[in-house]
Amino acid sequence: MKQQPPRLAKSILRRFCHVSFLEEVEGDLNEQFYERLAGSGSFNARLHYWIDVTRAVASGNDYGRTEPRSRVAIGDSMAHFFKIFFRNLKHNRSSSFINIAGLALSLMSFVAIYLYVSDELTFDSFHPNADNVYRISHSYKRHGDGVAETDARAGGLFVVELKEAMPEVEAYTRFSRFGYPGFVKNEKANIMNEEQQFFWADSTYTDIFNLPMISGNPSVILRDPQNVIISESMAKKYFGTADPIGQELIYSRTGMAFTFVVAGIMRDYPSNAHFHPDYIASNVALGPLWKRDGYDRVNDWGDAFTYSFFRLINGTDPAKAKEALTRIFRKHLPPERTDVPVLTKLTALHFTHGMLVELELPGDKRYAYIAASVGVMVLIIAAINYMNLATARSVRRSREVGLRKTFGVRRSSLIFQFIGESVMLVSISFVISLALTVMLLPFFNQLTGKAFDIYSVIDGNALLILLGVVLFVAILSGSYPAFYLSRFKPGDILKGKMITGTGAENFRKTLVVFQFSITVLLLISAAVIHNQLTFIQSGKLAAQKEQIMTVRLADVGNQDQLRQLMIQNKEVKELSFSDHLPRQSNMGFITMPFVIPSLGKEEHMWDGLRVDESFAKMFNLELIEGRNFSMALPADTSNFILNEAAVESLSLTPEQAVGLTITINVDYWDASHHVNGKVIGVVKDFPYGSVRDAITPLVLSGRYQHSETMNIRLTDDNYSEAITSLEKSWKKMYPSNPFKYWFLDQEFGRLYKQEMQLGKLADYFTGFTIVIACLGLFGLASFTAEQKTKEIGIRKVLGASIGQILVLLTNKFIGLVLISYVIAIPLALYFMNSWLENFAYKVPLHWPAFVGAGLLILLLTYITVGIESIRAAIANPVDSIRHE
Amino acid sequence: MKGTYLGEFEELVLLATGIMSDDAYGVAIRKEIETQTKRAVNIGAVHTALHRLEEKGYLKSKFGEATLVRGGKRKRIFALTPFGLKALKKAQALRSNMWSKLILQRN
Repeated sequence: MKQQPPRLAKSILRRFCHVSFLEEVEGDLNEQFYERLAGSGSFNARLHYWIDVTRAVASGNDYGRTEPRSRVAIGDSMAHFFKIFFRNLKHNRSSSFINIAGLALSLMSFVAIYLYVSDELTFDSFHPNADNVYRISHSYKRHGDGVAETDARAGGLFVVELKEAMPEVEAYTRFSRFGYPGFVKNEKANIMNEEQQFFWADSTYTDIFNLPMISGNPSVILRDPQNVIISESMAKKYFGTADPIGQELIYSRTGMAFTFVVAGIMRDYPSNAHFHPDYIASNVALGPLWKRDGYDRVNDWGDAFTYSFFRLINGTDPAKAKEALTRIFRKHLPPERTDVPVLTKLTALHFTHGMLVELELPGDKRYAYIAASVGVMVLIIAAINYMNLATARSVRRSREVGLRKTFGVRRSSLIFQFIGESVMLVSISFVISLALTVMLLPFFNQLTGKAFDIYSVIDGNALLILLGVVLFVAILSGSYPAFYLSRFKPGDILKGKMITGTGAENFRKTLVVFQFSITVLLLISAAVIHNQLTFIQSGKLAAQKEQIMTVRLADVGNQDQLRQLMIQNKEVKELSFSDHLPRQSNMGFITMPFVIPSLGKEEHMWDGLRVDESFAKMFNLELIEGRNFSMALPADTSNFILNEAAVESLSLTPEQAVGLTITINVDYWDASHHVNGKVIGVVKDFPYGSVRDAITPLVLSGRYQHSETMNIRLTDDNYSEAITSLEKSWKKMYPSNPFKYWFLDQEFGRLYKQEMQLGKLADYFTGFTIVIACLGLFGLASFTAEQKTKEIGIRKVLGASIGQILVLLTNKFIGLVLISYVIAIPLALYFMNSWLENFAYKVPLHWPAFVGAGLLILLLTYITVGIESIRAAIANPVDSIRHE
Repeated sequence: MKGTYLGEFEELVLLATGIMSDDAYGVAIRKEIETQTKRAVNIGAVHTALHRLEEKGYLKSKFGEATLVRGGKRKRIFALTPFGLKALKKAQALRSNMWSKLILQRN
C-alpha cells in the first residue's frame, strides 16, 4: 500500500488520544482513510484524517474508560501488609532491634522532655483566665546609693483604688507570706514543724486564683479570721488519717501565737505554679500582729507588704492599667518617693527575673528551650537510624520491589507499604516508650522536682501532641526509603544489576555526620556543664560543706549559753554562729547602709553578715590584714571585718582600711539606733552567695548574739546519732521549739537547683543520644561487613591480616566521626560560652573537655564498629567465598 | 438525568448498533446511520456517543479482529445490553404514547 495516513496527524493522535480509546479510534480512522483514498482521492482522505484526529483529540479525552477495578479486597491487602511486615521484622532481627530500641529510647526521652517543657511553659495557666491577670510590683531607687531595685510586692491599697478607678478591672486580690518561716503546731498530737508556705489572703482569693478544694468553700472560709485552709499534704502531716475539719492548729512566730480552726482542705498546687500555699488564712487575722500602734500593714500605701493581683476584662490594654496605677502612685506617695509600678502578667511570672522578695526562685526560659531542642535532636537521631538502616538494606528489599512491580503493583502502593512499615515500627516503639516513661516517672520527678504522674502522659492534649509527633517521625523516617526503594526499575533488579547508588551512600554518610555532630556537641556540653558545677561546689566556702549542719536559732541573746550546751556533745567538732548562708537577695533585703564618717557622709549599701570568732576558721577565711574577732574582747561585738571587694570599692588598700570607724544603723525601724565600730581586719573574698553574681562588698560584724543560725561541723559521718544527741541538748534549753536543721551543701545546692537539674538531664540525654547513635552505627557497620563478606574472604586468601581488614572496615566510619567532631567543636564553643555568661564565676573552656569528648566518641566508634568488623575479619575465608 | 436521558443522536447510534448485531464498530455504525438518515455523520461524533452510551451501561464492548486496512489495529465491537434495549423500548413507548394523544386531538 503506497499511501499512508499523514504521519504527523497519527503521532498527534497517539500522543494525545486517551490511551483506552487509542486502538479502536486509530483503527477506525485508518479504515476510513483508505476508503476515502479509494473513493475521493488523496487530498480529501488526508484532509478528513486531519479533521477526525483533531476531533478525536479534542473530545475523546473527556471519557476515560474505567480501568478494571482491583480485585484484592482491602482486608486481604492489609493482612498481606502485616504478614510481610512481621516477616521482615523477624528476618532482620538485629536491625529491627536497633530500630525499635533506638526509637523507643528517643521517644521516651522526647516524652519526658515534652512533659518538662510543657510544664515549664504553662506556669500558672491553671488559674482561670490567667492571661488577663497581672501582678503589681514596684520599682524604686535604693536608699543611699540610689540603685534601682524592684520589689515583687506593692502597697496593698493601690490595687483597691485601681479597681475603683478603672471599670475594666474585673477582680483583684492580695496576699502576703508574712512571717516566713513560722511554726505550726497541732497541740493535741504534739506535732510541731517549721512551715514556710503560710499565706494570708483576701477573701477574694478565688476571684483570681484557682483553688481546688477537697472540702469547704474558700470564699466563705476566708471571711472568718479564725479559719485556715490547709493543703492535702499538710492535713496528712498534722492529722494523719483523722478528719482535720474543725481541728485546731496553732501558728506561732517570735513569741506570738494564733489558734486557727481548720475549715477547708485544698489540693496541693501543681508543680507549674509560681507559689505553693500550704496554708491560707484571712489577712484580717494578721491584724493583731501588725495593728500595733494603729498601723495596718495590709492596707497601706507606703508599705509594700502584699502581693497584689488583678484581672482585666478580656482585650483591655495593660498599659492603660499601668497609666492609672502611675497616677495613683503619684497621688498617694509623698513627693520624695519616685516609685514606679511594674505590671507582670501572671503567666510570665515564672520567667521574670531580678525582682526582690519573690515567692519562689524563677525559672530560666532558655533551659526550657535547650531541653526542647535536645528532645527534637534525639528524635532526629533515631529517625536517621531508621533511614540509614532501611536504605542500607535496600539491596535485599529491592528484589521484593522488583517482583512486586512485575506483578503490577503501583508505585503509590509501594510507597504506602514502606511508610506503613515505618508507622508500624514507630508505633510499636511508642508503646514501649510510654511504658518506659511511666516506669521511670518517679525517677524523672526526683530529677526535675516536678510531680508528673501517668495522667500527665495520657491526658488528652499531651497524648494528641505526642501522637502527632509519632506520626511525623514515622513519615519522616519512612519517606526516604519509601521513595528511594519504590523508584527501582524492576527490569534492572531482576536481571541482577547491583543497586549501589552513590547518591544513597552519600546521603547515609551525611546523616551519620549529622548524628555524630549532635552527639559530640551534647557530649562536650555535658562535660563543660560538669566542670562548671564542680567549680561551683569547690568554691572556698563550700570546702567540706557537706559536713556542716545548720540549725535555725529560736531567739536572740542566748548564744553563749547555747554554745556551752551544744559543745558538750562529743559529735561537735566546731561550732560557729552566723546569719543564714548563702545570702540570697531574692529572699529579701540583705543590704544595710554603712557610713564611714572619716570618708564622708555617703551611705554604702553593703551586705552584712553577723558572725562570731570561730566563723573564719570554720569556713577557712583568709585574713589578708588585721585580725579576727575575739571572744575575749567584748568590744569586738561592735567591730567589723571587711572583704576585699568592700575595701576596693572605697579605693583603699587593706592597710588603710584597718582602723577605720564605721557607723551602722542596726535597727531597721529605729533610725536613731546607731552603733559605731572599728574595722579590725580585711578578709579575702569568698563566695557567700550565688556564684552567678559577682562578689559584692561585705561587712562581717561581730554581733553574733543577733545571728540567725548556728553552724556545726560534725566529727564523723554518723549523722543520725549526732542529730539525736544534739536535739536532746537543744530541748534542754528550748523545750517547745523544734530543732530545725539542714545541711549547708543542700542549702547551697538549692541556689543552683536549675544548673544541677540541667547537669543531670544533660548526663542522661547525652547518654541516650550516644547509645542511639552507636546503635545506628552498629547497624551500618554490620551491613558493610555483610556486603564485603566476599571481598574480605578474597583479601584474606591473598594474605591480608586481620588488622588490615579491621582498618579497611572501620576507616570509613572513623573518618565520618572525625568530620562530625570538627563540625561540633565551634558549635560547642559558641553554645557553652553563652551558657557560661550566666555566671560571674566560671571555669574557662578547658581543652580536656573537648579532647576528652573526641577521644570518647572515637573509642565508642571503634568498639561499635569493631565488634561487627572483628567477626567479619576472623571468619574463615573458605566459608565466605564458597558462599555461592 | 444523565443516566436516563437518551438524545436523538444517541438513540440513532443505539439503534444502529442493535441492527448491526455482530459487526457493530465505529466505521460500520457511522455508515449505517448515514445510509438510514441520508446525512453526513462524523466518526468523532460516533465515537463520543458510543463511549457515552457504554458508560451509561446501554452498550457493552469487546475487541474484534485486526485487519490490514486498519493498520493492524483491532476493532471494538459494540453490542446492545438488555438495559440498552429497555431504554430504547422506553423511548419508543414514550413516543407512541404521545402520538396517540396527538391523533385523539385531531379527531
